[in-house]
Amino acid sequence: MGRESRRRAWATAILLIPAAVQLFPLLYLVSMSFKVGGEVMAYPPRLLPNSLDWSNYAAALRAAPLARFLLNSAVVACAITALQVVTSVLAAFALARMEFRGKALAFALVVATMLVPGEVTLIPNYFTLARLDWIDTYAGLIVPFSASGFGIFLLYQFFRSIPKELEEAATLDGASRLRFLVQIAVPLSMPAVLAFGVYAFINAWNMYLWPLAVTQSTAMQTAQIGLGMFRSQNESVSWGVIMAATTILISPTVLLFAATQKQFVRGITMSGLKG
Amino acid sequence: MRRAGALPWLLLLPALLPLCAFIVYPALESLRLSLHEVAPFSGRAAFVGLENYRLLAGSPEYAHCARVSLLFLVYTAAPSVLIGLGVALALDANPFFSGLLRTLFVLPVSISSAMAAMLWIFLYNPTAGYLNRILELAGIAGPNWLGDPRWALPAVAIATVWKEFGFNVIFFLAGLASVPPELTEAARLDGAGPWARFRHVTLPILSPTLFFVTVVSVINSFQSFGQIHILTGGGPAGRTDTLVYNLYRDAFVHFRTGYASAQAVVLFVIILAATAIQFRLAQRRVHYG
Amino acid sequence: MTGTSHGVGVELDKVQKRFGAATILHELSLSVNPGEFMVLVGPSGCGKSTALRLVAGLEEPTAGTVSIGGRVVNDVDPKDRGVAMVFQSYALYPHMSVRENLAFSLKLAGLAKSTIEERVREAVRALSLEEHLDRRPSQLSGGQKQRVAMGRAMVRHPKVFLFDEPLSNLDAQLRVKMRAEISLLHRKLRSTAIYVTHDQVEAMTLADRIAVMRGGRIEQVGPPLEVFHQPKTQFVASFIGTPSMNFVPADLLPRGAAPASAKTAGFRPESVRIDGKAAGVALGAASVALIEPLGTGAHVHLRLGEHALTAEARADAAPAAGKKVEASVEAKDLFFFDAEGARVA
Repeated sequence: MGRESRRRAWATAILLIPAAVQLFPLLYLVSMSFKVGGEVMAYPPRLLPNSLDWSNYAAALRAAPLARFLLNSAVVACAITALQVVTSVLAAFALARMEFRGKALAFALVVATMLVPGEVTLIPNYFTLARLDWIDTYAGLIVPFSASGFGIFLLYQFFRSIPKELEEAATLDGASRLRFLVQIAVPLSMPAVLAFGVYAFINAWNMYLWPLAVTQSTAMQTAQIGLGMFRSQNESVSWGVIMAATTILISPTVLLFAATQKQFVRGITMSGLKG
Repeated sequence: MRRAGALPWLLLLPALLPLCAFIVYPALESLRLSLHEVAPFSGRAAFVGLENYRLLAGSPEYAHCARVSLLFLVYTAAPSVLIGLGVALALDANPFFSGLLRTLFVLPVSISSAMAAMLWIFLYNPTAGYLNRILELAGIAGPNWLGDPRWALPAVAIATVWKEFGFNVIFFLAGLASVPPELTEAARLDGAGPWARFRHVTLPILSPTLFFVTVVSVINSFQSFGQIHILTGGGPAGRTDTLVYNLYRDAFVHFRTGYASAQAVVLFVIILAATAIQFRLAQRRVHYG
Repeated sequence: MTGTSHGVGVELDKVQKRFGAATILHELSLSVNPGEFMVLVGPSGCGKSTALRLVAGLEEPTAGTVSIGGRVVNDVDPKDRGVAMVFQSYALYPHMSVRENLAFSLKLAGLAKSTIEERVREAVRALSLEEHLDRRPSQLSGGQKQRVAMGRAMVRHPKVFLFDEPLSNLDAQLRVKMRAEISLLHRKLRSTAIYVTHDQVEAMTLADRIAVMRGGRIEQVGPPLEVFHQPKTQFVASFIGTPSMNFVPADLLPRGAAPASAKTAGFRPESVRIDGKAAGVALGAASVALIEPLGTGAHVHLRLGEHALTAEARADAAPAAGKKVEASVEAKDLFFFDAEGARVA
């Protein structure tokens, strides 16, 4: 065995235990979701279910408006992602590639918003929503998050790295600023745009404090909130059913991330956003 | 560059409008509300000056929450940075199945803290949960994790680190990708062992990443909410009652808007201060290539 | 508008360009004739690229006018000026194929599909890029990228071609080859060309006329050989010609050899005689510091007191390093400059 493969073997060995720790809760969750009846609370607990019994999933979908929660989460997360990507692309382009009066101020404003924790804005935003009559509506869940300081900053880094000569060539070719943005800058920044899109989607899907504060009816609750309610309101519901519901609710982001994490890491690497 | 006219502001407007309306304005509004006593339902406010801050300063309950938050910071930020760095270094050494392993480590990042909590709540179950079963097999009697005042905060912290350190792995991997291989090769030729290479070549180049990741981990720790809400609800005996959790309760359970706003402002100041302190420390140590 | 489009004149009239407190161009005036190949040459920072970008419309003059084809274009958009530019970095769109790169401007101009195809085919044939049409720029060699960049300019049938150091990213061999291609292409298309370079060999070989620039001003404009043989300033004399002209204080020469107003005397390396057959004006005894053999010829580096000189010799006749030689030069090969660097004789 050469030095290189010895090194690789060591690295693999070191990673085995942490990898098992990372994986175990997820596998256990899935395993639990198939346990029915007395199996769940059996002592000593068993690692694997007796059979692949899908009844917990059926029960989860019946017991709570799980489909509704999922739909709400999907609508909210997709809308927020689309809005954040579009507003961030436009704003980042203006900041990165245009000279105008007040630019430093606008930039400072954007950076400052990244420093404000959500808790600080929670209460006044709640009042703003109440005034707009947006409590317990999609608008209330979406509009406050239609822009992202982080997204603007990430794409700003990217747009700035596009050579000036490329834009000049496009100008001579007859492209307007907006056409350059749409046909050249955005396609060239696709890794960053995608990485940010995934990031925005996961964040929006996983929002907790805000939807907890501004939703009241079951019809508007997102998956995150619905699940908590589901647990507290259904003491009688089997843990197996709750785990089935949890499995359903984490699947979208887990699958999305598993499918895109390679590009995600690449987007972060290329953005130079390493500190 | 040619004159741009009104176009840049037109491009900025769709982003600046919501940022101002839902971040800048409410941040300032929080500051204003913190100087008022606000009636729960009418929303009428009476100016009380610094009264809310005086209340906070004199509150043993708030001091307790600050201690809990600080302890939680130690339990979460340090491990998630160190484990994140260790795992990233091992992944960077090109292990077998590296793609699969990397996916595994970063996957929990995509799970919300609330969902991660759901997952752990059953693992922590003292009788039916598998965690104590494992300990039992090793001959250790496991505690009642979430019900025992001594173990509740570490238990929440473990679930938090489990979910979050993958995020740090991503950034460390990005940072490691920027370490020029010829530099480590040169160090190898100079006779530097693995530790010396890490200490004198990799770490200095990685230090901006390390700095960034530490700042983000500290901020995240201060802002943890979902997992506490689901796992312990601040209990048992207030042992997991962090600053953010206390703020949430005062704002949305007790409807003490002015008092909660003062807490929000204090939290903001704490986070800013923590960031600023790390910046100061980093100025001396961080090596920006 | 197909086939060749004959060039139009370009006129810079007292053009000034300032960035903040820094003045990049001082009242620059230059007129380029229709169909002419004009090369702007000078050291980096002399303002040559800025002048080119003013013609392109990528910069706006602080004062003065830019005219193309007799029309003042100060307020005309770059795309409507009838100019096309080849950039130093090529500036090809990395995510588009060669075909898409070439067609981009034509699509934006709203030309018919058949016209676009026709023009792309024409450019591709002229530049022998047929096999690379569907490749991305990252899959091309430096020379191929360079050709695509030229093709992108050609398809627009511009009245004026602008080149911003287009060959400086190529290796020496390829540079010579592309230089010849550009020259041929220009003769075929007969459009006007303005070409910026810091390489005086490129300037000499390509230009109908050269404009030598320095510090935001034009020092001299003229055909290459005129600029070479009749430099108006010491700077032009030093910049044009390789190896560079030698300069010594005028009072180093024998009494009467230099005019009274002359401060500095200059002579080209090829006019220095070190073979013992003394020419008209003796320079004195010099020691040979270094020989650089080039093949048939050699550069001989000499020390003449505190001055360093370069001479040219046949490689087989070059003296050995360390040897003493008598250096001299013909009176007709001497140039004289006053204290301000202006030529006096």
